[in-house]
Amino acid sequence: MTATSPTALEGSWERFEALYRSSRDDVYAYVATLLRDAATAEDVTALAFERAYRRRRSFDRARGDERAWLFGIARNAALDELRRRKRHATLAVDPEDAAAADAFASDDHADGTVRRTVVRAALDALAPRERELVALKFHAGLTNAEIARVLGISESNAGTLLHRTIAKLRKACHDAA
Amino acid sequence: MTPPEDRWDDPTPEEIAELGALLVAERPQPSPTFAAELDACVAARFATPRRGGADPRARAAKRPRRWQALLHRPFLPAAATALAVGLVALVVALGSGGDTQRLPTGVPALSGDAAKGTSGAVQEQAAPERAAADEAAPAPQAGSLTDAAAGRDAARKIERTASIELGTDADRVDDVAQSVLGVVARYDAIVDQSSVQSGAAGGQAQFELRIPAARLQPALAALSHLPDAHVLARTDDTVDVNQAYVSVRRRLANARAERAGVVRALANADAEDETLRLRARLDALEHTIAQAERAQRALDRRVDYSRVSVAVHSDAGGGAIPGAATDDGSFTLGDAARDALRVLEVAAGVVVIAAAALLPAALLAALAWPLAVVARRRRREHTLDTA
Repeated sequence: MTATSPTALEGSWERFEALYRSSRDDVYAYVATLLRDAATAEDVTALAFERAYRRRRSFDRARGDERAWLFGIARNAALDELRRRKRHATLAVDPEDAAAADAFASDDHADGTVRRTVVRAALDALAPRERELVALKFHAGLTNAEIARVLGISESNAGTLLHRTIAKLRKACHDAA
Repeated sequence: MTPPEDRWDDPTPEEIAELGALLVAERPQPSPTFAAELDACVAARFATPRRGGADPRARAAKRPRRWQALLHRPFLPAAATALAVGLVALVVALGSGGDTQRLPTGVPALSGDAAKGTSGAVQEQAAPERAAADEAAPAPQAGSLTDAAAGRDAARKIERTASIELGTDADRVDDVAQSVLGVVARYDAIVDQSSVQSGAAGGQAQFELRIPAARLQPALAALSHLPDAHVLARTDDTVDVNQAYVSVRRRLANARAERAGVVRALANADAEDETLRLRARLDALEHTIAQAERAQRALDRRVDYSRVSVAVHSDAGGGAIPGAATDDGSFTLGDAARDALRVLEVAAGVVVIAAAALLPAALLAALAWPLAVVARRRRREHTLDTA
């Protein structure tokens, strides 16, 4: 979740490679949270980076930084995948997927496991838009300004929505506990 | 994680940090296999498909199609269309550069019979309009030497006649005949006789014109450069009628002088025989004077109005003129250039029509592009709402 240097040359391979290295795991985390399917998230993540590479010369710094631009591409790819999934009526979500379970839970501490199970349940109970906000903020590590740019809303609106979502998540965690 | 009930909507920074730490811990991590594959794919700059990824057909389906890529550059088709239209306009402008003559408005049309191919005659068809195109009339070309001679012989009485034989395509005889009448109107000429015959196999037209002598050369130049026609033969004849004119004038003056003397003698005559003789002589003189005046008017007409014979023949069919310069059938560079120009004109016309059909479509597409973007964005957002 490190930031990319804004002084790198636009459109150059080195700049894209740096963006990829700094954002690969963040993009995957965001897409996986949105799609809730590890295999599809891998495909969509790869597709997002490929699209970003093909369109790297169309990047306009005046319209936001590179990470926001990259997450916008990833978001469109993920939403297109959701639409495709809905159109073909094939539910790709598999909560019992072992690989996904491994990906979502790698710590075996007992107390931590309980708390994280509660958080995971509360996260799953959120609406997709709220879950996306959590993913962008805590999984992808975007700032409120970057979130606003990705979602096409104002920064203050992004902050308000995020605050409400966290409050709702806290309440859901309390109810689950 | 257990705040008071009234504090759900106002978490403290510590609570947010604690919840954030738990959420970060829930962050999905890519599998090492996927990370390695994607790293390799990026290192190859996406030249090779990811080994563990979806099958190539599925990837191709996810990859934007070419037309979708065009939609991401909405100004590209519009710019290409504008460029194409500009090129077409340039080609048309260059192609129409040699088109120099147009029929003037108000040119008297051929009679229905003549247009249908039956012979028709127009007697003394005076030019109805004094065309304002005098300044636009073609400058004399072939007749410049004759003009100089005309200036030198301005004081002399010169009768000029000319004949022009024009060739044209079989289906253009009527058009050329209309153009001849346009020249007649433009130069205030008179049609003494006309005949137009046209048909599927060809046609011909014949005009006997009288053109004001002062405008003869511009009129002949205009007739020699009619659209869709080419000159097969042309003759210019001049006859000096000054001697005949002087003779008539002298005869007229003598007769008038004698008539004056006879009138005076008649006034002084006392004898009846002499009176009768003088009256007979006076009648004869009156007849001679009238005859001389008619001859003088006829000469004036021949001098002031030049007779011009115009014949139009179709190149195909039986319109060939004996002795006229005709096409020998050989294919020359000029023929090739004309054919090439014609092909270019037709091609440019087709492109203009296509552009006229495509331009509104391109404009509509450019106008619909923002709507399409908004609709696509709404569909995506709706997908998230219903996921």
